Amino acid sequence: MRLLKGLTPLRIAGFYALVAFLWIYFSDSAVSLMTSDPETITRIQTFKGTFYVLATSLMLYALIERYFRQIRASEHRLKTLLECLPEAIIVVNREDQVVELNRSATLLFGLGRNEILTRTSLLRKSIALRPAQDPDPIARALAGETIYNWEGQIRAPGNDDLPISISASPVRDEPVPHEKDGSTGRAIIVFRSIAEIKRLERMRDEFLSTAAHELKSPMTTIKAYVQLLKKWRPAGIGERELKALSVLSYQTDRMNKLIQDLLEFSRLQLGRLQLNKTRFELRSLVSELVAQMQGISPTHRLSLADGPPEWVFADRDRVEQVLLNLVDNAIKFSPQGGAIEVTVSGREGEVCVAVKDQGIGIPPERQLQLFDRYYRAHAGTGHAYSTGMGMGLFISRELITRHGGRIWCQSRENAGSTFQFSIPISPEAARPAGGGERSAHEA
Amino acid sequence: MKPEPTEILVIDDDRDLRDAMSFILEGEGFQVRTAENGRIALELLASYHPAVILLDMRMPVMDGWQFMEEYKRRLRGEAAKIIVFTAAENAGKRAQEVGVPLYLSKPFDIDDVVKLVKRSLGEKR
Repeated sequence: MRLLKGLTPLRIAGFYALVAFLWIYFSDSAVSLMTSDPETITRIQTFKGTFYVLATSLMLYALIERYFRQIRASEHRLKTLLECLPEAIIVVNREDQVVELNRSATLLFGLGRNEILTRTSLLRKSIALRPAQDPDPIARALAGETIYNWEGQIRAPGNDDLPISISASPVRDEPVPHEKDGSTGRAIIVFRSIAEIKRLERMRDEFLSTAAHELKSPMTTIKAYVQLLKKWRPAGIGERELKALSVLSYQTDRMNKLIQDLLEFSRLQLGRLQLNKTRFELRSLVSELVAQMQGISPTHRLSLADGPPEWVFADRDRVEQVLLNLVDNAIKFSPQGGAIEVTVSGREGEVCVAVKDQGIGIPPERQLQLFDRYYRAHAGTGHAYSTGMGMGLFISRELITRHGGRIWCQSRENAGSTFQFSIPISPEAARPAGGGERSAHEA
Repeated sequence: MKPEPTEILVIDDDRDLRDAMSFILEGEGFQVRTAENGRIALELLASYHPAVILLDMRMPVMDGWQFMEEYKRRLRGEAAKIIVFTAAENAGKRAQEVGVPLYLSKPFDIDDVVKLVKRSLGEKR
């Protein structure tokens, strides 16, 4: 039976045909040699036929049984693999009915297998995906899309919100898609718990927060003494010493900004960022900042276009932080100096701030990821300004988004960039001057 | 010449920073005393009435919050102007918590320290 090791229907049929042919040929030849009496021949033929049917039936049974056993074993192996996977896997159909699932899925949803399989739409009633999206990853996969690592939370009966990653794909086993849009009847959904990853990320962010905090105290003292030294100008201090003090002062500020970014970043990651919104006039804030930054870089010409006051209701410190970041970038990425134009303009329902430089610009392929965390558009380019932690624009985007605004960029390589952000005008911003305003140092 | 310079108390657990604050403020003609925590400050304040108190929030032995509570409780007569200076995440919020309108985030510009002290005195009238 070695010949039939890998049984296929064609091999079974071929083997059957061969046996049948050999039997007919050799048995008929043997009968004609034994006798020429027609009556005896008919009797022998009847007996031979009956024997043939019995023998081949037995043989077919053995072959088909063997074939099925192989299929069943292979199915069992696959099922076992599926059952043993730590990821929860389900297959759903268009009616939101679960048609296949593994053991991990029953554990994740906290429901029995039959309960899940027999009740239509139970899945949607039992689990909630967060953030809520329409269409959610399951619906998108049913519509023909393949989704990789959608991160969110799942809430199943008797369980707290569990951080999960979902990958989903339409099942494309039918030769003809059911519908013209390419959707098939079913989708396979893989749920992976990312609780441990989230826990580690949280530990990392907590550590970052503590470290940045601890760094702040010595930096405060260093900064104070550097400023004092500059102020005192001891007798006999020469150009060299003054230069040294200026470098110390500049680098201390740089270090402070990095610590500040680290803190803000960890706050964002830990969800601890709270906006302290007040009503203030944006143009005067921009004007103060432009004047301050002009002092830092004499090689650039910073300007703010004239215009009417623009009142907003926002977190003043955070808006200042975003502005500082954009102007700082404009200076950093136009090493040849040049004009940096800042504009503040009121539009329908929002106030928009733009910072335009004549610097090195950003290549088109690097513009899409500009606002991603850790992304540094000029990393690996060998430029002197390719340093930094890649957090500035990420933080800026997060801060502006949390104000309900947008931040975007237009840039041409070697021609400069324009970064813009908008803040929506809320009813609080439109309120006539009175309560709610504050100056820079009052709570 | 002023007959008596304005007195300021600096409460912070970092000795180097306390000294720096003394240098900054004495350079502007103020008379400065320092305390390394709230407890020592309260002992000082039993017989000493500064016009302004610069208060760090996170300190060992007695922190800024406990100090404010105790200070308000013991107060007889006119209160000093308090300025909170802290490295905490939200300096403004920390200051609000203890009912203080003036604050300074660490690290700060020394000019801002002077400005803020002068402003607090100006508001006193």
